[in-house]
Amino acid sequence: MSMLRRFAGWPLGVGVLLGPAVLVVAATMFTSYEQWGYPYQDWVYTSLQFHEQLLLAGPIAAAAATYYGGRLVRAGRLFAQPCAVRAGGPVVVRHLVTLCGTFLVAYLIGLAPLVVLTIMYAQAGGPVFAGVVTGLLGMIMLTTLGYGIGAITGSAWLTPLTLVLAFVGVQSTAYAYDKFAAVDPVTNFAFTLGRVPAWPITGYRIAFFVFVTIAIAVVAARAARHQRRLHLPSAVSMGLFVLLVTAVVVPAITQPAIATEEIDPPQVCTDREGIEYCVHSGHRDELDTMVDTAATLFRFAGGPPDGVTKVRDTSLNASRDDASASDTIWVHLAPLNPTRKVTSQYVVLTLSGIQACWDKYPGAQITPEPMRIQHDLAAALSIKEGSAAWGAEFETDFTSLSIEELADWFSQHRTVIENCELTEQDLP
Amino acid sequence: MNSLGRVLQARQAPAVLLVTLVLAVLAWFFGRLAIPIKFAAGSVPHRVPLAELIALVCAILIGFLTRPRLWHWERLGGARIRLMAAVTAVVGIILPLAPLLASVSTLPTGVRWAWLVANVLILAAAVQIVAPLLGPLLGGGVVLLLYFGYAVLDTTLPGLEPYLPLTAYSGLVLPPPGMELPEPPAHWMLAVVLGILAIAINTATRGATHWAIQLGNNEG
Repeated sequence: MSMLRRFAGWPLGVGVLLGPAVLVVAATMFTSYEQWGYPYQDWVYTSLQFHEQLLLAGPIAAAAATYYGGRLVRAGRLFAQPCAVRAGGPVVVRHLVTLCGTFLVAYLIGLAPLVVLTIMYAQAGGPVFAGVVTGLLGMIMLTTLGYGIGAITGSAWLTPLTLVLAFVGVQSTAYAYDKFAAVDPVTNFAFTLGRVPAWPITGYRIAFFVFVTIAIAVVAARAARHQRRLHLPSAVSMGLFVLLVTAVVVPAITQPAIATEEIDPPQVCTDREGIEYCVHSGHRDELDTMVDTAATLFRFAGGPPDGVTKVRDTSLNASRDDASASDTIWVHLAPLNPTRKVTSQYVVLTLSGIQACWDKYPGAQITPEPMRIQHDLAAALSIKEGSAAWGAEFETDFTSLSIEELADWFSQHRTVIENCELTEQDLP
Repeated sequence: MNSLGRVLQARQAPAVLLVTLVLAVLAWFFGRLAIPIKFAAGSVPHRVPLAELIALVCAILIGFLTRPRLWHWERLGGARIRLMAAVTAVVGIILPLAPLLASVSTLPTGVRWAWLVANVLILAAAVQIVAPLLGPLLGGGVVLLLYFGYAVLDTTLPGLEPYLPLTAYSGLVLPPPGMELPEPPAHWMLAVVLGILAIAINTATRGATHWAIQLGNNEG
């Protein structure tokens, strides 16, 4: 019997912990399995998943904790008689250690495949501290929040309500934009190599999660220790509530930046036919694919566009503040974007003159004639290259041309394309 | 105080009206937001209209407030108690439309929203069906859970949409000038059937079953 008592699950048994733990593992794998299939992994993106994947796992843990707290803490339970000595703090701490421990382990098991794949397929770097720590603290906070709902109301029947309301809460960054990114574990703001989490907001998030966890534990411990004679919250609880509201409202008004750019990112470069190709060292294995794709496209067009001397990975300058520099084509390499396709997309954007048209007709609602022709040209180029990044399988005036004819046509119409002045007469 | 006054008092009518009013004001301000739910980057998100969610919360709160608090006496009652339970169910199904109507009144003219009325009627009727069987709090939670499960199912398996009991929100579409938009398919038949079922169950059980009361004794 003493063994049984020592086990923190008494008197509910292990089912109320292991059942939700299995659900947390399943939910985490369900929401992350799409990323297992990415062609390569990126430590920044994977580290962010430590908090992004809480979308479903967090509310499940919170709901399970509501059931646990609602069952065990309320004064009046057979094993927690009003006349008995109420343990308060130590009981709550023990419950929370059991709950948070179980769900953290389950969550890490759910994330394990993604982490293992990242260890295997990330090309450089290591885990980003800010993402991992805020993710784990977010899980602890959500579990404690759910436990608090059960412990304070004394009702296990709030479990489904906790699940849905916790989901609506963590998903708030998806419909209330960036207002709650500082207080919501799930930021709904995925960024990749080349950016790092901003320190001010990371510090705030860590402090906020710890504060909420402690505040709820304190209120729950008071609820467990005292019989409530008045149904009014105490001064301490009210004070903590006011602090909490302030802590949510202030960053919603100031809206601090979530990510900043990596300073002096390490780069790997190579030259081919007078063009300099550079990628972030975390994308070093993608360099060859990028160079081959871009060089093939330049060959089709009879050489690179006038003035272009560099092709660079956007991870080297995530905000692209020198995007207007006409000597560079930026390619957005990221695990989600297959390298060959995305290279083709961005290089063709410049080659076909679509970028020039966008610059010439900013915000154009009606597609001007040159732009329509250039879309045909872009599709033809990317189909010939093989990636079909600009749409596949439709006949255009360019499809029937051989590669040499296309290169000839290109060199004759170079200035027209770059000025966005193509007309029907220019068609081959 | 006459007997109608006592009935209104027992069913917490002032609190019901207050909750409906507060949620209608909330829906007026925020009802046009929609919560996107998706779990894979490539899939189409299911969007939960906040107006619909607020109406569902309203239905659950009304179900909780109008629960029979004197059930041990009311269970012995006759036709008049049954009538009261039936009227309570009707009120619990109709009143959640108030937040919804407050929200859709802010929409531009021409936007179709009748499907939302059908959705809310279905959800409120479901709450009124489950509340006597499981208790208003747990029953409401179960309906909320099913609603969430429906959203997850809809974003994970979009092909199932024609077979799901609610109409999914597909974005705010404004009609082109001089034209009218087609009405999205709404499940009116289901709303009517569930409404009748809800009234029947409330009439038969006088608002709560013994089982639900016992569950409430343990956990309320």
